[in-house]
Amino acid sequence: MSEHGHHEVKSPVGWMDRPAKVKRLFMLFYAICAALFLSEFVLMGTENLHPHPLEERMGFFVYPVYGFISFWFLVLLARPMRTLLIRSEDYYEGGGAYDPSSDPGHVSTHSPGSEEGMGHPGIGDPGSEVTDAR
Amino acid sequence: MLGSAPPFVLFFLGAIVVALTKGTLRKSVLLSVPLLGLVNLFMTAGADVGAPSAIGESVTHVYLTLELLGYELQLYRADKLSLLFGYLFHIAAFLGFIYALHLGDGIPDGSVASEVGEEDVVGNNSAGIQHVSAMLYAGSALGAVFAGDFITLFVFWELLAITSAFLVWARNSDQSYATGFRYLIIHVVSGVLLLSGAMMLAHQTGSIEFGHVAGELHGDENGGLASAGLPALLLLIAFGIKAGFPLAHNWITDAYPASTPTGTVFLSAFTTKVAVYALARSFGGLDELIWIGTAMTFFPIFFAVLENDLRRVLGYSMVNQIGFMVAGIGIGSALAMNGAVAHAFADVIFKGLLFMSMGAVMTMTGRTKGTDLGGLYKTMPLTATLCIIGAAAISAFPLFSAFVTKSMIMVAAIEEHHYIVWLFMLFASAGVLEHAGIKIPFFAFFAHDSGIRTKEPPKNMLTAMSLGAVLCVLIGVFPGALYSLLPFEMDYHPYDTRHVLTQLQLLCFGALGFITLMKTGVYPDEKRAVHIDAEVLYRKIGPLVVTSMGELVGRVDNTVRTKVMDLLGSVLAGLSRIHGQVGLLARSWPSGNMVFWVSLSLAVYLLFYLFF
Repeated sequence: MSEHGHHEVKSPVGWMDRPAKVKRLFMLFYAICAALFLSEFVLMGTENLHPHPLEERMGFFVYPVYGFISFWFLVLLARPMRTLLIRSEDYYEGGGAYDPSSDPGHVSTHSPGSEEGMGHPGIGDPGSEVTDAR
Repeated sequence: MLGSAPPFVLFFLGAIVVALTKGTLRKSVLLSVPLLGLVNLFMTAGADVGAPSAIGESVTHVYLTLELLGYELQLYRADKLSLLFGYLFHIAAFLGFIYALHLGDGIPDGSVASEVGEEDVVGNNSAGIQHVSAMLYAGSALGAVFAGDFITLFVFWELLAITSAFLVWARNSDQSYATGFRYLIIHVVSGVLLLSGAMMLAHQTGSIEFGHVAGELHGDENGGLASAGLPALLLLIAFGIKAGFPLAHNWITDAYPASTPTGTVFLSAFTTKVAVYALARSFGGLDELIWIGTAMTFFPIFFAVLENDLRRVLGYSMVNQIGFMVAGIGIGSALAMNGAVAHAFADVIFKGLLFMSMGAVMTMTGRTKGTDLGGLYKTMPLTATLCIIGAAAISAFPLFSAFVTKSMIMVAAIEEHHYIVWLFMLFASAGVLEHAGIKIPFFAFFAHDSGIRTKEPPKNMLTAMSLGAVLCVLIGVFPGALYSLLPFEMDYHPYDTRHVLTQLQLLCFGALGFITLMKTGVYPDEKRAVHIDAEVLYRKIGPLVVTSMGELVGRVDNTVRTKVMDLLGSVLAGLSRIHGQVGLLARSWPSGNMVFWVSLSLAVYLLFYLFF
């Protein structure tokens, strides 16, 4: 990797390299999720300003469940799609099938079994989502 | 003059001045043209301008006409619909030019892009071409939305294609040359279809007015595609190609990642939005668009999960967002139409912001792939923050722009009883959060630390991104201003407890889904690979068929030639055996030969005599 020495010295460690901080962010996010889940009980009592026959037919907790399941459905369908559609990077320039052994830059973006923020700075970190949610 | 000058004129004149100037003078021209244009538009809007004739009362102003072959060309027609896009394109051009201001000043200080290997990754050597073609491109987009007839529209439609192709070529790489030509061919085809449709329509109806033609599509009442519908169908396909309809969407994912960091920002603003405008103008309420749009929201999100090049992810995201607009146009109610064009407005700004942030990363690091990036929040915290604001805006978090625009389309879908469509759109909304809301900022700025140490991009880039971010928030917090510009009357309030809470539930639990997918290792790794899409038809299979057909023809030709030559050879050999110097018929030639033929003919004569 190309690095500029004088910049490297300036910022060797980011806040995501501190597991305690990352863990605190996770906790905050889980708390927000829990609060949003409970807010469904508040919604039950309010009048729906935009009468929504579909929502009424589907029952309560539609949105949290739908959001969660959507992500899993999306990824579980994308994975078999990948095995079908993946080709080498130079496919359109005459290349052929994808060969995992010739993928030097392939870096695992997650590591199964790692605890949140522990040992793997930034891995599985929801920094962006938490910021979004606020 | 101001107030009645067609908006494109200013930009075309500006382009000439930009081409002739350098340095500070050019920079001031780049920035003042869109601002001056905006003043011009406000003066136009000062006149009482109403909704387009499709729905509601029509107050349309035509400022400049031209006579051509007996047809009246309207070069500048303004109503609320065209003015909305007019404002939008001026804002987009202004932000884009701020973002591209540093071009020609040399490679930004602290950039590690030059170490990547590609010589001119930021397109610094093509600064002049980029500035001039971007100015012409923005002018063409304005010309198209203010065109009052199909012929004027066609001219600007083709100018859009030609001027923007230079933004792809400005990258100066082999890949961008090839991509630029593919891009140009696809858009010229779209223009040819547009002209054919317009000419047939003019032949049938005697009018070339750029107006509502959806009714023409079905010909008769029962909706069959009678021959009467052909011109409208051609127009629909022409618009559809530019809007990125399914199967015609790959020019977006092909060209946007191939252009320069600055070029892509312009590309993402104009072409597809002109197409959305054209669809809204001509095909509002066309049922087929609901399903085409829904398909567009749906399938790209799967590709976006798998794609490694983050600018191509944004390309798929573009198709997904246009899908919402197309579906809204198909639904066709006042709320849906307003939602579609309002979402186009918001999209240009937040998608521009996201492309700008990825362009900033590319300018400074030379990389845009998920496998190469990560951990940049340490050295580019401002860019990261601005990118997250764009991500929040596209994901439709409350207080951000898409929350107040996309929801209009969703509510309209429910109101018009398109429940299945609504469910698909809700799923697609979660998909937007996945690829644009989380994946883009996460893989670029967080995730694993790539070890790249760089700096924030040049100040002008940060300024453009900051202005974009401010607009994303302003539209989200004060939607009234944007709503007042929308073409149709409506009564809609985005902020109520239920809408805010349910949207937050959808998004936060989607994000929770992302965390669980990461922690269980189910989320697919980024891979250095391509995932084939419809473009495989013209980039791989088409050429393969042509080449193998050529080979087959060559082989057949070769075989036939050899066989015929062999045959000829053996005939000649046979003849020479009989007629050659020592051949049967040549040995005693001419007298012996003569005797032989005479006796043969006598024998034949004898036979005839005996039997007939």
